[in-house]
Amino acid sequence: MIKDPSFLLWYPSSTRRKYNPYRRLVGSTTLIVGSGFFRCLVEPEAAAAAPSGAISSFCFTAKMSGEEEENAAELKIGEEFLKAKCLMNCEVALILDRKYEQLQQMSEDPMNQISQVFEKSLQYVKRFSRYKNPDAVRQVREILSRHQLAEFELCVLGNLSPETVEEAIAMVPSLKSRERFHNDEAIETMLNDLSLIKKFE
Amino acid sequence: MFFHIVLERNMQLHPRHFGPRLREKLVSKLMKDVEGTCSGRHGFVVAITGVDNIGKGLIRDGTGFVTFPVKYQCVVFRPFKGEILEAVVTMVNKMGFFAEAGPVQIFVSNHLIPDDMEFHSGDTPSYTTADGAVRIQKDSEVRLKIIGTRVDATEIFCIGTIKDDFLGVIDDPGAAA
Repeated sequence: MIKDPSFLLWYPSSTRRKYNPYRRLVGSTTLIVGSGFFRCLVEPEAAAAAPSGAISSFCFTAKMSGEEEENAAELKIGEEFLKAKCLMNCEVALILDRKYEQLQQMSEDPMNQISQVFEKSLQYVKRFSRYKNPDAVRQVREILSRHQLAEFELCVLGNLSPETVEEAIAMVPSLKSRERFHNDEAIETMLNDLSLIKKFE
Repeated sequence: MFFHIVLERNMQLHPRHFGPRLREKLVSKLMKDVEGTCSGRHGFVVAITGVDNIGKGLIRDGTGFVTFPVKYQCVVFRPFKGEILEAVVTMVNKMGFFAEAGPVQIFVSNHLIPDDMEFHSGDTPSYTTADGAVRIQKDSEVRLKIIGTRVDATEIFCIGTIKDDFLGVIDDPGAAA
């Protein structure tokens, strides 16, 4: 729930001169707050209570839905991405590499077909993937997935491979907030397992 | 962060492509249309990895074009507020520095660089500590936290910070190994 008088509302200009413009907002509405766009559900009583004179600011209660107010530190990344499969940089490198090879086989001039986004992503993941060997990549995911981590947390740990428990919690603050790790030892074992893979890769 | 997600899109196809190679044509058109695009909701579409399902086509009145609903899997890159990631520095100036993480640009203002690092202009402008031990210049690798995102029609810009624990220049990976 948000209760904030400083919210700036956007609605079609044709509704502006009607009796109570906020009535029109009942249901799903786009809000512009600062530089962000939010989808908002406005409750009927909130709209009815809104003063009809004020246009740019008023107080109302609305239920946030979807991806707004996102904060990866608290694992608020939206339903859609929370459920989606996350990829570590090393996994993306494997996928994009194979795709690049396929494109090379299909046409003589692969650079022509490749978008800038693809090229930049490939360069990035190659530079920042900790594990190059496909087997090592699989092992990393296996080890991390033993610990009831959310997909997003798993990948952050896999990408940044923190060395100490303190660092791991700083990188993924949500590790502490949920009661999966009763003590720091569990985290430490996990980090040790990861560094072993890197060593023997 | 990179994600593997399933998206759906309505593809319009000209009748001249109808024939035994219709599916191939649809898939190649999908790749051309979608790969490299960016939306605020899903981020950058990096690559299509597979097509799950192509639904029944619907003939458009008047034009003869047919619309097919296509479900496809793709790799997307979507930055989140609060996310910590690694990036490559691309430009340094007195306002701060720009870094790139895959397709996304991240700006780190000099207010969000630790106070003990100072800007030095010259051939390669850099932010350096007084003792010269830590140095941020073009091509440095930094670990940063995203604190804000701005979504454009075709791009996402981020604001980052390195003023926090465990953030900043990454040690030379060669030396650590």
